[in-house]
Amino acid sequence: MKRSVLFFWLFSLVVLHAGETSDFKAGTEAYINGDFKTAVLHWELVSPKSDVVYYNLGNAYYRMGKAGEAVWHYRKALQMNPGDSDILHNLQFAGGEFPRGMATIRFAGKLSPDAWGSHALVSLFVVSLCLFFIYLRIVPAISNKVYLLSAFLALFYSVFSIIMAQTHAAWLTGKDAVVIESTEVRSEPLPGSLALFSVDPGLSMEVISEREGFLRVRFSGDREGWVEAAKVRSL
Amino acid sequence: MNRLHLNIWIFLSFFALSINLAVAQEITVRASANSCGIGDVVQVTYEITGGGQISLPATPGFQSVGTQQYQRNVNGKYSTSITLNLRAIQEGSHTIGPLIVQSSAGTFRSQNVLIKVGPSSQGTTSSSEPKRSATSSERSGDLILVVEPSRKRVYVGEPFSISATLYSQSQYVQFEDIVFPEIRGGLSRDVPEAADNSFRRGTYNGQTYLTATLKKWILVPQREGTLEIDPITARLLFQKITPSQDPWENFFRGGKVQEQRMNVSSTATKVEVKPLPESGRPSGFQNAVGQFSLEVLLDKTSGEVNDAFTFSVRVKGNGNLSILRFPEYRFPDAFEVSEPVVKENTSVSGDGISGSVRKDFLLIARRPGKFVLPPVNFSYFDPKTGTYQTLYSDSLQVKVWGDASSFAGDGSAAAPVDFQELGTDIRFIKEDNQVLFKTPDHRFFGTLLYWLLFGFAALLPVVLIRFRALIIPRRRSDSDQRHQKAVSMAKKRLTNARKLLDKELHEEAGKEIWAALQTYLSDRLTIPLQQQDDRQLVKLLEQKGLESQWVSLSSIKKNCEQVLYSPQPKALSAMVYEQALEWIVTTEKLRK
Repeated sequence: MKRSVLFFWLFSLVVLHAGETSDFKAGTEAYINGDFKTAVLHWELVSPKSDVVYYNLGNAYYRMGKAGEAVWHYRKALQMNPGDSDILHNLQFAGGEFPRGMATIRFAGKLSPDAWGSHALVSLFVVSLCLFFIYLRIVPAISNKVYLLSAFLALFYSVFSIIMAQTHAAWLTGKDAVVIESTEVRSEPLPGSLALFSVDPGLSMEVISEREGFLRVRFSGDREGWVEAAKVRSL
Repeated sequence: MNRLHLNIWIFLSFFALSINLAVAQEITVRASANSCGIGDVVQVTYEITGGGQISLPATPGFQSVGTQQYQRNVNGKYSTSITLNLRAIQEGSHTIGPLIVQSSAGTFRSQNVLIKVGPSSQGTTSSSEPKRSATSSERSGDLILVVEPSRKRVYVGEPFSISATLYSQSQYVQFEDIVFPEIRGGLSRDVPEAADNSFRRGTYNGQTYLTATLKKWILVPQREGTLEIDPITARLLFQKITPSQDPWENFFRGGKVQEQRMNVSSTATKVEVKPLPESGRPSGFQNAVGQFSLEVLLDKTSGEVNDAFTFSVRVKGNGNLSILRFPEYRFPDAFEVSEPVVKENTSVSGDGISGSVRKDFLLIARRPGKFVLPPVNFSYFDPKTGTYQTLYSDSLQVKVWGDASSFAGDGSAAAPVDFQELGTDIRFIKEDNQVLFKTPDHRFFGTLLYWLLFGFAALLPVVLIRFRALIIPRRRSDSDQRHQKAVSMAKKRLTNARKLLDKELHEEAGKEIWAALQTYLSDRLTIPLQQQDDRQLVKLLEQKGLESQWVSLSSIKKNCEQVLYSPQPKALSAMVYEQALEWIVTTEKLRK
């Protein structure tokens, strides 16, 4: 019984994987043939989506003239793979802004938060052992200096890794959204309230809170207001 | 009575004249001078009573610099006044032919005028420079006309002003006719608010006059060399009041009023026009001279394919704006550029020409993409500093949305010599999706377990120090080490003594045995050599609880000394060796 369940699980995994691969390939083929709409349909079926799928979807939406959708998909791809130059290039090209702290995240994104966290942990262990060895004085005086220097370097790297891990973690859990359709930013979360300014597709913003179909958002330059949730999409 | 008689006489004379004018068409002619030099301007005035078709006379040896015609109608009597302003260009006696009037009454001719033209006052016949006009009125100093440029030396293209000013001794001046010179060699613009016919007080050559600005121009020279500004000629009515013998006249009019009709002419002036310096001339320099600022505008930064964009280059400042040429500019090939429109918004004042000139280009985007409009470089010459300046605008970005399928690249184009920006686009899709799910791991960092481990790592030295006894066995103390060393040293000396015994050197062996014990006493029992006499040894051994060892030690010492004198040194030395060894072993046992 147990064996048959395991077999079924493995089989479904293979079938699902094969389905995703064929959807990905079909999408790529449609894109190359200039049928961007079909490419989008195929790629949207791939689940879960990798940064590559989001990136390709961004390209297809861009070709269809949908700037908001394109920027959203590039931002999604960038969230997964912050250091990728292709994604950054196309995001900028499609009129999207670079997210805040892009310079830091490009480096922090080279390792996952867990990897950075592990680096910090191991470095701290090294610091502790070095200090213990110095305490024991089991080594000649010249080596004490080496131990002290090692402890200092390891401590520095540990602090650095923690900052990188936090940066990458904050990047993954950031509450940003992108304008999909041109809309107006209002002073209150009510349909008839005063329109403060209009925003174009592709503009990104930080989501502060939500209230009955409206999002309280903040744009660059600390401009705040309420925007219809249907017109924007959170990352 | 006399006065009444005079008035009647004047009245009758006028009456007779008017009858005469009414009945016959008459032409009178007068010239401002009968002789002049080359380059001088002579005015020939014809007064014609009645109307008709007028044919102007031929003027051999003269060049016309302007003609004025006035028509008057006084009490139904019609008259015309024509003034020819003639510049003498050829030496000799010249006859200015008759002016002919054809009317219903017949054909009438004026008299000929003979004018002698001599060499120019400078004596250089080839020079066309006009000299001071030989009018008597000017020499008199009552009326002076001056044409004055603001600067005598200018650069090509550098605007400067020319003003025509009248200096007069009397405020009763009435202009009947004035001829302003034609300004050649550049673009001239009148300064509208400068003409001010009201008199102010001013000085000229140290004398006080009433002065009025008649006209002011701004001239932008366009040719290098000497720029000549012709004189102004004017005919005016001048009233001079001189003290009269008649007290009534003095009382009512301030004196005797003398009315004079005068022809006044200014002197000609020259301005030297310097060429622009060759050194430091930027390659993109066109002809701008002055002080300018540059602005580049684009009405919108994004749009659809086939949308129109307006790209404007605006040059603002003070200088030769009216004739300013814009630098060459190349747009990306994705745009279709229509013929640019130049809009000028300038004002002319005494300081020059200021304002702005704008060149608008209408661009039609023909394919999608992101394009960079390269910066505009505008070079101008600043005459104040005498240097060339170049202004750079920012490059502008334009995004064009739309379907790329409408654009077909021309594959037949020859390979460019250098990189040529033809267009930019997004990068191609990624065809390899090996890693189907690539989300950076974020399941361990930040969890409670992680921070506990982090705390543990930070506190690890404390833990290790606290429990180090469990991890590393206690090491022997330094004194233990020292004692061990002392024992081994004593043993080494005893071994040495043993070797001496084997060699039958009994005396040396005895000494070595005692030395071994002394070493042991000093190193192991910390009894220095100088304290090792019998009395002190007893006391110190007692302090260390080894009083029982004293007896055997003194026995060993005695035996060591006796080895030398013993009849059987071999047996004694062997015994002492055994005793010493035993003593050390016993002492060690007692110490533990």
